[in-house]
Amino acid sequence: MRIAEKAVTLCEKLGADYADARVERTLSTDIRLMKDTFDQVASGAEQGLGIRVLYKGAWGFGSSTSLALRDVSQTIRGAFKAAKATALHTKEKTRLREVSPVKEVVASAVKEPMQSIPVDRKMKLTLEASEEATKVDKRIVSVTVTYSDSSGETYLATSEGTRLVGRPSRGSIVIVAVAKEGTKVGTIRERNGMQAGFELFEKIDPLGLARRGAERAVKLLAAVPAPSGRFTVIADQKLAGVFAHEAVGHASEADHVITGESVLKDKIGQRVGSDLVTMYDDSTYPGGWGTSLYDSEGVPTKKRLIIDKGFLKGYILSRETAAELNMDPNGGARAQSFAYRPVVRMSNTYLTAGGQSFEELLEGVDHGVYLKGSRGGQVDTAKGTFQFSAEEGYLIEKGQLSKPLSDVSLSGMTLETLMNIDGVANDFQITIGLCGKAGQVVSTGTGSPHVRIRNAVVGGK
Amino acid sequence: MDYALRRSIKVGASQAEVFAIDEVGMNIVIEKKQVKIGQVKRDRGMGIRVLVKKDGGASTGFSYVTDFSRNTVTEAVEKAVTTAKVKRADKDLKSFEEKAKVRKVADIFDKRIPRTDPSDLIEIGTSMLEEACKDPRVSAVSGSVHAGFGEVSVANSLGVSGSYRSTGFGGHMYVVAESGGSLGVGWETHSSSNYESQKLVATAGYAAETALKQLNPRTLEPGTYDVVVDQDGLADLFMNTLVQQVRADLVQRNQSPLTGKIGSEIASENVTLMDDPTVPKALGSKPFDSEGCPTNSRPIVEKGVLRTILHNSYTAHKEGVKNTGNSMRYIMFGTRSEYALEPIIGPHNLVLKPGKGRREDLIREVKSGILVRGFIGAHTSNVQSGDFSLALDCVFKIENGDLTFPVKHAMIGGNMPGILRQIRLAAGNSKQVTMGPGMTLISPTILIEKLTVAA
Repeated sequence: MRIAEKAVTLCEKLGADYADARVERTLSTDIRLMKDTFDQVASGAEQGLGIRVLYKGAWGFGSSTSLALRDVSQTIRGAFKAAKATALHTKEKTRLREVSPVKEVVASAVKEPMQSIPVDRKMKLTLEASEEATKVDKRIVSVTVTYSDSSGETYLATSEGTRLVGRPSRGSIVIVAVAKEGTKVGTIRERNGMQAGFELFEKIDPLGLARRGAERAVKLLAAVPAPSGRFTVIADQKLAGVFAHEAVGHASEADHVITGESVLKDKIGQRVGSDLVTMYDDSTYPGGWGTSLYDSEGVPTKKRLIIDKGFLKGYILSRETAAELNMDPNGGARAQSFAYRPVVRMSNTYLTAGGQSFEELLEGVDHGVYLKGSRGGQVDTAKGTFQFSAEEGYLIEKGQLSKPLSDVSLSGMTLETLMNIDGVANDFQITIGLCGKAGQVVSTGTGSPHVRIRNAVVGGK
Repeated sequence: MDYALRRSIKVGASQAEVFAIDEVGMNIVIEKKQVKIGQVKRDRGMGIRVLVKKDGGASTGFSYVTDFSRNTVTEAVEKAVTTAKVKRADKDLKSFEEKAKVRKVADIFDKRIPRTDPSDLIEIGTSMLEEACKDPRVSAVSGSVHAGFGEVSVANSLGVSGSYRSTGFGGHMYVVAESGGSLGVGWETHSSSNYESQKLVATAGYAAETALKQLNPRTLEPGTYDVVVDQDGLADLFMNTLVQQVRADLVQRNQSPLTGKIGSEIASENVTLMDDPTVPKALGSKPFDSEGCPTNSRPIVEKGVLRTILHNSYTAHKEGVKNTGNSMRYIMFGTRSEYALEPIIGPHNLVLKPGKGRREDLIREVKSGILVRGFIGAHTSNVQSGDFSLALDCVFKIENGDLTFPVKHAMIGGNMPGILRQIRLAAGNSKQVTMGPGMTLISPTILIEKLTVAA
């Protein structure tokens, strides 16, 4: 905290109107096991400072991995220079919505500190998960298991008097199982994680994940190429969660709204989806991958209602975007690490559960496609278009799942798709994800129940 | 660095290697039609890799630090050695890179860049904005300008010891135009190791022009079309498919469709693809790779035939071939400093041999087709099978050699390397596009025949 406070004081001396400094020390372990070989085992010790200064309505930002006084001071002067030069050209001055300064220590609930566990125990856990997946079926030709944990200390000091100390700790496991038969290949990824100490690995059941991933990969071997065209689609929790995140979540980020790069611009209070659509971006979801009590600006976070029964209710806001839109800030500014400035980001984004069972959703489909899992996706938030590749697909015929489909994707217009949701199941699930924006990657949670979408565009080969 | 090497050997490593970076980056962010923020970033760190010989093979351990204090380095070295001791011996792992003669690479350091100030970048950004906002229908502009310089050093206990300095410069512009309820989006990028401010400013005009032309898009009739692909789209697709498929580590693990394909025809004879680490002003040019192995130019695909795959020291030892010097440190998603990563494999500058003529001449060759600037979702491609399904970005219909109208919402599916057989023509307009840290694609606009396009 001393370095962060010193940095802020120096900024004020230089003439900054506002400054905040984040100092972080992080210890991490990253293990990747491919088949039975440890492809990567990396222990990291990172430290650094990030400094943000506001001068005459313009931002400057600097970061340094060296905390030596000379380097810190040089970084701060660089950031200040940048702010000063920017100030000469900005027409619209940046304002920050006022918040009350806070002083608090926030620590993840940890029973077994990550750093107290020797690296060989973490390697063993990874190996066990890999063996569990491999023994599912002879056709499993490759299993990759990635283990990650990180823990450390974070300090935030602002020129307004906020002093936050954080002791975060998180861990995750990702399993990629590949099945092969002849020329057919099936690849499935399963993953989960939590913010806690090493004990979290008991809760998330790595062996169960491994088994499930391998079983799904084997199933894919029977898949036939997917048809292309418009179908009634049922998306599983993961794919619907990715849709909520990518297509709707990004469009609800206030910076996109302000720059006009969002289809949700000027739509607060308006209908943007069917009655069945309720969506939150929830920083408070217990143990969630994107959960935090305060954001990177030191603003208390919230469970943000984005869409309520089809009506757009709010955006994700930083202090700056809140000032601009004249709304109350809701703690939506996050930075990947000290080396990045806070930007408007999602936390845990999810569609809420409905009243139907999965079977009831199926019953209503005469000829359609069931899409499971996601190999990722992308959106154009300005145009409101999206495209996601599913991991698995099945034809739906007369209310029954039939043939498995390979390499199938879902695309469409975001708002049209939200309006076309005509069934939401009661089987909510949330999983972990990583979200890239503005050159930064942050941990996010994505969740949803099964949802049914009418008239959706499915792409095959 | 010396301390880390010495300490590693002292606590039980048979060999040790340090990869260090010290760089200063500077960038400005353009949002809402104005320069939003200037940023400076000092990033210094080192990755320490140790090799412990045992049981007729060896194993490695890895740690990285950004704090160079003795205590932190000592602890990091201990963790790396512990890891190596715990790991099972790999009989294919022999040694880190031996000392070898390294040639200099010309024109990768532009003296103007270390003298650059945030205010210089802001000047450029302001000119870009002026260029982009000339038409009143331009409703949103965002973009970036960046410049950086740094030094990469590699040393190991076998006597490898070298460093080189390089610079980087570039940026992008993203423009949204609005008219009568219709939106058009256009963008352009520029990157070089030289301070090319005028070329960067020109991206803004081009992005705006594209955005305006994208207004009032129409739906495309699904069907089979000739597809003209610009460089940025191609770089995105290649990085997520072909670049991974020519990695010897993935080939050896049978995770690439190119396994066993050296000497086979995998592309049309119009396709010649080099890895060339000596291209002047290219961001992938460098004298040695991230393990200290000297780099060299070589054909990957020559007139359609797969000539080589790319190796680092491990895969070369394993196969008993000469190391191609393609050890690179990167991850496919997100940003991580190179020193925080263990080496994998990648190209330096992937150079697709250009054809003749301008981009317009290439388009003129097309009877019924589309022009595509970029792809959405290339990272969802399946490297092992090579299958991809992509949404198309910035699409125009081509009829009898003319761009007739902007197209909304089109998709293609295909396979890499299969699609390489359908490359019929290349224009002469080579452009450098960044694919990853120290990796570029230098390619012209190309024409791929007969792709199935869904609307």
